[in-house]
Amino acid sequence: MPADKDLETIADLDRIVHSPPRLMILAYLGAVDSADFIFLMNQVGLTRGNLSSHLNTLEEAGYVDIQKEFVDKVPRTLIRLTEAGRNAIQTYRQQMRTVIEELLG
Amino acid sequence: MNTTSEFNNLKRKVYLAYHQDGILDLVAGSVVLGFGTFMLTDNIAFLMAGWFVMMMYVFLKNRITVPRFGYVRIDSQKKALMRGWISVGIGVLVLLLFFLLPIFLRRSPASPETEALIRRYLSTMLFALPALGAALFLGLKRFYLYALLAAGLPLLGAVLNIETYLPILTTGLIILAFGTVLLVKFLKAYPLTTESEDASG
Repeated sequence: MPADKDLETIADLDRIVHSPPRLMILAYLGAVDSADFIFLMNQVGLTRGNLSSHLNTLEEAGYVDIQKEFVDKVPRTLIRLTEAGRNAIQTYRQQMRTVIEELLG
Repeated sequence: MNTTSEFNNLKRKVYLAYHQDGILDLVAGSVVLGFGTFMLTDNIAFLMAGWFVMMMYVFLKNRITVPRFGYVRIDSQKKALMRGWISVGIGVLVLLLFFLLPIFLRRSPASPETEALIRRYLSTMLFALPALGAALFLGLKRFYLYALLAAGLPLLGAVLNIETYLPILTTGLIILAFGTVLLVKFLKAYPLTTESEDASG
Protein backbone atom coordinates (compact mmCIF):
# COMPACT_ATOMS: atom_id res chain seq x y z
CA MET A 1 0.00 0.00 0.00
CA PRO A 2 1.48 3.34 -1.00
CA ALA A 3 2.37 5.74 1.81
CA ASP A 4 0.05 8.69 2.45
CA LYS A 5 1.83 11.60 0.81
CA ASP A 6 0.45 14.04 3.39
CA LEU A 7 2.14 12.11 6.17
CA GLU A 8 5.44 11.47 4.43
CA THR A 9 6.98 14.14 6.63
CA ILE A 10 6.84 11.66 9.54
CA ALA A 11 9.23 9.37 7.69
CA ASP A 12 11.56 12.31 7.14
CA LEU A 13 11.78 13.17 10.85
CA ASP A 14 15.33 13.24 12.16
CA ARG A 15 15.41 10.16 14.38
CA ILE A 16 18.36 11.49 16.31
CA VAL A 17 16.35 14.52 17.42
CA HIS A 18 13.05 12.62 17.68
CA SER A 19 14.14 10.62 20.74
CA PRO A 20 12.69 12.38 23.86
CA PRO A 21 15.89 12.29 25.98
CA ARG A 22 17.98 13.65 23.09
CA LEU A 23 15.37 16.29 22.33
CA MET A 24 15.53 17.38 25.98
CA ILE A 25 19.33 17.51 25.87
CA LEU A 26 19.23 19.58 22.66
CA ALA A 27 16.57 21.90 24.11
CA TYR A 28 18.65 22.61 27.22
CA LEU A 29 21.77 23.14 25.15
CA GLY A 30 19.77 25.43 22.84
CA ALA A 31 18.75 27.54 25.81
CA VAL A 32 22.23 28.02 27.29
CA ASP A 33 25.67 28.80 25.93
CA SER A 34 27.27 25.63 27.33
CA ALA A 35 26.74 23.18 30.18
CA ASP A 36 28.54 20.31 31.83
CA PHE A 37 27.61 16.66 32.23
CA ILE A 38 26.26 17.06 35.79
CA PHE A 39 23.96 19.90 34.78
CA LEU A 40 22.43 17.84 31.97
CA MET A 41 22.14 14.78 34.21
CA ASN A 42 20.18 16.84 36.78
CA GLN A 43 17.95 18.61 34.31
CA VAL A 44 17.18 15.77 31.92
CA GLY A 45 16.94 13.17 34.70
CA LEU A 46 19.01 10.50 32.98
CA THR A 47 21.49 8.10 34.55
CA ARG A 48 25.18 8.67 33.90
CA GLY A 49 25.35 5.80 31.40
CA ASN A 50 22.21 6.81 29.51
CA LEU A 51 23.26 10.42 29.21
CA SER A 52 26.71 9.38 28.09
CA SER A 53 25.22 7.17 25.37
CA HIS A 54 22.84 9.88 24.09
CA LEU A 55 25.64 12.43 24.07
CA ASN A 56 27.77 10.07 21.99
CA THR A 57 24.95 9.77 19.46
CA LEU A 58 24.53 13.53 19.30
CA GLU A 59 28.27 14.08 18.98
CA GLU A 60 28.53 11.54 16.16
CA ALA A 61 25.73 13.37 14.34
CA GLY A 62 27.68 16.60 14.76
CA TYR A 63 24.89 18.20 16.84
CA VAL A 64 26.95 18.78 19.97
CA ASP A 65 30.55 19.60 20.66
CA ILE A 66 32.07 17.88 23.71
CA GLN A 67 35.21 19.20 25.37
CA LYS A 68 36.92 17.67 28.38
CA GLU A 69 38.75 19.91 30.79
CA PHE A 70 40.07 19.87 34.33
CA VAL A 71 38.96 22.49 36.85
CA ASP A 72 40.85 22.33 40.16
CA LYS A 73 41.99 18.81 39.18
CA VAL A 74 38.36 17.74 38.80
CA PRO A 75 37.30 16.53 35.33
CA ARG A 76 34.56 18.52 33.64
CA THR A 77 32.84 17.56 30.40
CA LEU A 78 31.62 20.72 28.72
CA ILE A 79 28.92 20.32 26.09
CA ARG A 80 27.81 22.90 23.55
CA LEU A 81 25.22 22.85 20.78
CA THR A 82 26.74 23.19 17.31
CA GLU A 83 25.22 25.16 14.45
CA ALA A 84 24.18 21.85 12.88
CA GLY A 85 22.42 20.94 16.13
CA ARG A 86 20.59 24.25 16.19
CA ASN A 87 19.48 23.80 12.59
CA ALA A 88 18.36 20.23 13.35
CA ILE A 89 16.07 21.47 16.12
CA GLN A 90 14.58 24.13 13.83
CA THR A 91 13.98 21.61 11.06
CA TYR A 92 12.49 19.09 13.49
CA ARG A 93 10.17 21.73 14.88
CA GLN A 94 8.92 22.71 11.43
CA GLN A 95 8.43 19.07 10.45
CA MET A 96 6.49 18.28 13.64
CA ARG A 97 4.27 21.30 13.06
CA THR A 98 3.57 20.12 9.52
CA VAL A 99 2.78 16.60 10.73
CA ILE A 100 0.38 17.83 13.43
CA GLU A 101 -1.32 20.25 11.05
CA GLU A 102 -1.76 17.49 8.49
CA LEU A 103 -3.13 15.05 11.06
CA LEU A 104 -5.48 17.43 12.83
CA GLY A 105 -6.12 20.12 10.25
CA MET B 1 5.60 31.14 19.91
CA ASN B 2 8.86 30.58 18.03
CA THR B 3 11.85 28.41 18.97
CA THR B 4 13.88 31.36 20.25
CA SER B 5 11.21 32.47 22.70
CA GLU B 6 10.74 28.88 23.89
CA PHE B 7 14.49 28.67 24.43
CA ASN B 8 14.24 31.96 26.32
CA ASN B 9 11.59 30.45 28.60
CA LEU B 10 13.84 27.47 29.27
CA LYS B 11 16.83 29.78 29.77
CA ARG B 12 14.78 31.74 32.32
CA LYS B 13 13.93 28.51 34.18
CA VAL B 14 17.58 27.46 34.25
CA TYR B 15 18.58 30.92 35.43
CA LEU B 16 16.04 30.90 38.28
CA ALA B 17 16.98 27.36 39.30
CA TYR B 18 20.66 28.37 39.34
CA HIS B 19 19.86 31.19 41.80
CA GLN B 20 17.57 29.05 43.95
CA ASP B 21 20.54 28.03 46.13
CA GLY B 22 20.16 30.93 48.57
CA ILE B 23 23.77 32.07 48.19
CA LEU B 24 22.83 35.47 46.76
CA ASP B 25 20.41 35.90 49.68
CA LEU B 26 23.05 34.88 52.23
CA VAL B 27 25.53 37.33 50.73
CA ALA B 28 22.97 40.16 50.58
CA GLY B 29 21.82 39.38 54.15
CA SER B 30 25.42 39.42 55.40
CA VAL B 31 26.08 42.83 53.82
CA VAL B 32 22.89 44.30 55.35
CA LEU B 33 23.59 42.69 58.72
CA GLY B 34 27.21 43.92 58.62
CA PHE B 35 26.02 47.44 57.91
CA GLY B 36 23.43 47.32 60.70
CA THR B 37 25.99 46.00 63.20
CA PHE B 38 28.43 48.71 62.08
CA MET B 39 25.74 51.34 62.77
CA LEU B 40 25.14 49.82 66.20
CA THR B 41 28.76 49.38 67.28
CA ASP B 42 30.58 51.95 65.12
CA ASN B 43 33.11 49.18 64.48
CA ILE B 44 34.08 49.20 60.81
CA ALA B 45 35.16 45.53 61.04
CA PHE B 46 31.50 44.49 60.80
CA LEU B 47 31.04 46.57 57.65
CA MET B 48 34.17 45.01 56.16
CA ALA B 49 32.98 41.52 57.16
CA GLY B 50 29.76 42.05 55.21
CA TRP B 51 31.66 43.17 52.11
CA PHE B 52 34.11 40.27 52.56
CA VAL B 53 31.20 37.81 52.36
CA MET B 54 30.09 39.57 49.17
CA MET B 55 33.52 39.06 47.64
CA MET B 56 33.21 35.35 48.48
CA TYR B 57 30.14 35.02 46.21
CA VAL B 58 31.94 33.46 43.24
CA PHE B 59 33.96 31.17 45.54
CA LEU B 60 30.76 29.98 47.29
CA LYS B 61 29.01 29.41 43.96
CA ASN B 62 31.95 27.33 42.71
CA ARG B 63 32.19 25.34 45.95
CA ILE B 64 28.50 24.78 46.72
CA THR B 65 26.37 25.27 43.60
CA VAL B 66 28.49 24.05 40.68
CA PRO B 67 29.44 20.61 42.10
CA ARG B 68 25.76 19.89 42.83
CA PHE B 69 23.74 21.73 40.19
CA GLY B 70 26.39 21.38 37.51
CA TYR B 71 28.24 24.01 35.55
CA VAL B 72 26.19 26.06 33.15
CA ARG B 73 27.12 29.16 31.21
CA ILE B 74 23.76 30.71 30.51
CA ASP B 75 24.84 33.62 28.33
CA SER B 76 27.72 33.92 25.91
CA GLN B 77 30.92 35.38 27.39
CA LYS B 78 30.23 38.71 25.67
CA LYS B 79 26.73 39.00 27.17
CA ALA B 80 27.96 37.88 30.61
CA LEU B 81 30.68 40.53 30.49
CA MET B 82 28.16 43.20 29.51
CA ARG B 83 25.82 42.13 32.33
CA GLY B 84 28.77 42.30 34.75
CA TRP B 85 29.69 45.83 33.68
CA ILE B 86 26.06 46.98 34.00
CA SER B 87 25.95 45.54 37.56
CA VAL B 88 29.22 47.30 38.43
CA GLY B 89 27.83 50.54 36.96
CA ILE B 90 24.66 50.32 39.05
CA GLY B 91 26.74 49.53 42.16
CA VAL B 92 29.00 52.54 41.57
CA LEU B 93 25.97 54.80 41.03
CA VAL B 94 24.37 53.65 44.29
CA LEU B 95 27.62 54.14 46.21
CA LEU B 96 28.12 57.59 44.66
CA LEU B 97 24.60 58.54 45.66
CA PHE B 98 25.29 57.29 49.17
CA PHE B 99 28.61 59.11 49.64
CA LEU B 100 28.12 62.25 47.57
CA LEU B 101 24.74 63.35 48.83
CA PRO B 102 25.90 63.79 52.48
CA ILE B 103 28.83 65.90 51.16
CA PHE B 104 26.38 67.99 49.15
CA LEU B 105 24.19 68.31 52.25
CA ARG B 106 27.11 69.65 54.30
CA ARG B 107 27.69 72.36 51.70
CA SER B 108 24.09 73.47 51.73
CA PRO B 109 23.21 73.09 55.40
CA ALA B 110 19.80 71.75 56.27
CA SER B 111 18.33 71.46 59.74
CA PRO B 112 19.85 68.56 61.76
CA GLU B 113 16.45 66.83 61.75
CA THR B 114 16.18 67.05 57.96
CA GLU B 115 19.75 65.88 57.57
CA ALA B 116 19.12 62.91 59.88
CA LEU B 117 16.00 62.03 57.91
CA ILE B 118 17.87 62.20 54.60
CA ARG B 119 20.67 60.03 56.02
CA ARG B 120 18.11 57.50 57.19
CA TYR B 121 16.47 57.59 53.77
CA LEU B 122 19.85 57.08 52.06
CA SER B 123 20.72 54.14 54.30
CA THR B 124 17.41 52.64 53.29
CA MET B 125 17.97 53.20 49.58
CA LEU B 126 21.49 51.74 49.77
CA PHE B 127 19.93 48.27 50.13
CA ALA B 128 16.47 48.78 48.68
CA LEU B 129 17.74 49.92 45.25
CA PRO B 130 20.12 46.98 44.62
CA ALA B 131 17.43 44.58 45.87
CA LEU B 132 14.94 46.16 43.48
CA GLY B 133 17.54 45.95 40.72
CA ALA B 134 18.06 42.23 41.41
CA ALA B 135 14.31 41.68 41.37
CA LEU B 136 13.82 43.58 38.10
CA PHE B 137 16.89 42.55 36.12
CA LEU B 138 17.49 39.04 37.45
CA GLY B 139 13.79 38.21 37.82
CA LEU B 140 14.26 36.98 41.39
CA LYS B 141 10.83 37.79 42.81
CA ARG B 142 11.83 37.34 46.47
CA PHE B 143 14.08 40.37 46.05
CA TYR B 144 10.96 42.54 45.69
CA LEU B 145 10.18 41.52 49.25
CA TYR B 146 13.74 42.32 50.33
CA ALA B 147 13.51 45.75 48.65
CA LEU B 148 10.21 46.35 50.40
CA LEU B 149 11.71 45.30 53.74
CA ALA B 150 14.87 47.39 53.20
CA ALA B 151 12.79 50.46 52.35
CA GLY B 152 9.76 49.86 54.55
CA LEU B 153 11.22 48.78 57.89
CA PRO B 154 13.56 51.82 58.35
CA LEU B 155 10.73 54.17 57.34
CA LEU B 156 8.43 52.42 59.79
CA GLY B 157 11.23 52.76 62.35
CA ALA B 158 11.36 56.49 61.63
CA VAL B 159 7.61 56.80 62.22
CA LEU B 160 7.86 54.77 65.45
CA ASN B 161 11.04 56.64 66.42
CA ILE B 162 13.23 53.51 66.55
CA GLU B 163 17.00 53.71 65.97
CA THR B 164 17.90 53.14 62.28
CA TYR B 165 20.19 50.15 62.95
CA LEU B 166 17.36 48.04 64.39
CA PRO B 167 15.23 47.84 61.20
CA ILE B 168 18.41 47.30 59.16
CA LEU B 169 19.51 44.44 61.44
CA THR B 170 16.01 42.96 61.22
CA THR B 171 16.07 43.19 57.40
CA GLY B 172 19.49 41.49 57.32
CA LEU B 173 18.33 38.69 59.61
CA ILE B 174 15.18 38.08 57.56
CA ILE B 175 17.18 37.90 54.31
CA LEU B 176 19.70 35.55 55.98
CA ALA B 177 16.85 33.33 57.21
CA PHE B 178 15.39 33.13 53.68
CA GLY B 179 18.85 32.36 52.30
CA THR B 180 19.43 29.60 54.85
CA VAL B 181 16.10 27.92 54.09
CA LEU B 182 16.81 28.08 50.34
CA LEU B 183 20.31 26.69 50.82
CA VAL B 184 19.06 23.76 52.92
CA LYS B 185 16.39 22.98 50.28
CA PHE B 186 19.00 23.24 47.53
CA LEU B 187 21.43 20.90 49.33
CA LYS B 188 18.64 18.35 49.77
CA ALA B 189 17.50 18.65 46.15
CA TYR B 190 20.98 18.45 44.66
CA PRO B 191 23.34 16.02 46.42
CA LEU B 192 27.04 16.27 45.66
CA THR B 193 27.77 14.69 42.28
CA THR B 194 31.03 14.04 40.48
CA GLU B 195 31.70 13.12 36.90
CA SER B 196 33.12 9.69 36.33
CA GLU B 197 36.05 9.30 33.98
CA ASP B 198 33.82 7.72 31.35
CA ALA B 199 31.29 10.51 31.57
CA SER B 200 31.05 10.90 27.85
CA GLY B 201 32.56 10.78 24.45
